[in-house]
Amino acid sequence: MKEKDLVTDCPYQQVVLYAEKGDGTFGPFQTGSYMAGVNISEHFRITENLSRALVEQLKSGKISPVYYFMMIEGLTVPELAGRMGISSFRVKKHLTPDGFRKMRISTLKRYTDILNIPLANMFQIINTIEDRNWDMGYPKIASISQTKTDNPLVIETKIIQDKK
Amino acid sequence: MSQIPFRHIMAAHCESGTVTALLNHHGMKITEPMVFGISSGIFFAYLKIPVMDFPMFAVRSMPGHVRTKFADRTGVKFISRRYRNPEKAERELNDLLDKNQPVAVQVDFFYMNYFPAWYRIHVNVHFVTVIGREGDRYFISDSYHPQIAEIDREALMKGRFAGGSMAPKGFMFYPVHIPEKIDLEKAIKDGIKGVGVKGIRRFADKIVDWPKYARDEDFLADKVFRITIFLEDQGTGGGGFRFLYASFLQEASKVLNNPRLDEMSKEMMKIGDGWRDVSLASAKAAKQRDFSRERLMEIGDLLRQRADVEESFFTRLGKELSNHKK
Repeated sequence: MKEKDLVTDCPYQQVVLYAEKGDGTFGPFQTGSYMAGVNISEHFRITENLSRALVEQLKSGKISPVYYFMMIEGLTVPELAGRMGISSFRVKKHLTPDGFRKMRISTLKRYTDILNIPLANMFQIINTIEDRNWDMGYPKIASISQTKTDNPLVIETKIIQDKK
Repeated sequence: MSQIPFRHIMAAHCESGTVTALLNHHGMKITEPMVFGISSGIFFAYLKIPVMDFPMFAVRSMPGHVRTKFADRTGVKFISRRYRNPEKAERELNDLLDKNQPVAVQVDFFYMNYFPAWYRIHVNVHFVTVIGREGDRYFISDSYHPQIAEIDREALMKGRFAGGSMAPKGFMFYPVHIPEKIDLEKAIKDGIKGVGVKGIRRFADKIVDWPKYARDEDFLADKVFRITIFLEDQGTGGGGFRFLYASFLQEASKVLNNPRLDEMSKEMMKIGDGWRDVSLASAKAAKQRDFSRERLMEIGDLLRQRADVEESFFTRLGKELSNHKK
């Protein structure tokens, strides 16, 4: 592959590729990520669809917030169990609304440490997925509105990041 | 203390990039393709075991192999440590930084918050070099980041002590001895091995089964997109490491004074182009949401071609080296 054939314009996601240079030698060059440059909108669409579907299940009390974040972060039950140091059987319990209700706060705190989110996010839905600069778990100046859902344990929190 | 003077450069692969940067820092002139080739970094495996909800494939050797194989074949010595106690791991890292020793650490990529949130995934086998600290902030040379990055203590510790499969357990390493004279010819010959063509053929046969493991179309599209990501974007240098390996063969031809290897490096570059065809076909199928048996069989056929040409290539490469020895 020649260097010119691999160039992708994507300043926000750079990668190093190896290719044939003008003088016939092979070597590294820095360019934009093909996937990020060409298919990022598709990636966001998939993530947003997943989030929307999971939020609906969360609001109607079919899944627990642990399940929501596990899916959003692309973890599996055995992987989450391994990270928690508990059995897959116990994790599966915590993925249900009933198991979530019975969970100790200390166990929930361990989940939030692994999932890298504030504990409070286990009890609210934050609609920030449309804002790609938003980073879960990191404080930013924002305005917030909150709405009740059909699930008594969950409130919907709308956060609008201040662009100033 | 603050930042240790360290030449930060991006690299194709996090582990070979980290090893190369550390060796360069200690005065050894070596490139990433040489580190990758000598350590037999080229690899292929296809996995589907009952505990996995979806099949996966790997185009990199086991994490840690680049460093250990390179050390075995060159005589370079690394100190490596794994910890049960996070406090001890942190203390020893800080002590080394205080002595101006840059240290490579294994982390879960997800906690490296100098990358945007959408880019980060949970994968426990990412390697970065810590090159200094200031209070609770650490300076990081990450092969995938254009500049030297900063990370807070809590995020670095979370990354170093993430649990799950291939947990880092605070793993860190740094070189302590580089021999004055290294027999590069022998190291290169020892490093040139075959690639797992059985795994490629298995992948080619099994990709048509992928829809039955998917919970919905979006999930399957994401998995098929990942073929492209794993081959092109996720630290391979493009073409599933084949472009990087072609660069290694070109350099090796000069060290071994073997023009035939230079010709074979060009052939490897073309093999990489074929892998790029696999990537493009996968991205196209995912974007068009076309997961028909025929479409997946087309990707399977492209994979089978890769297996055939690589089987022939590595057989001839092995023979070429045997003849060279004589």
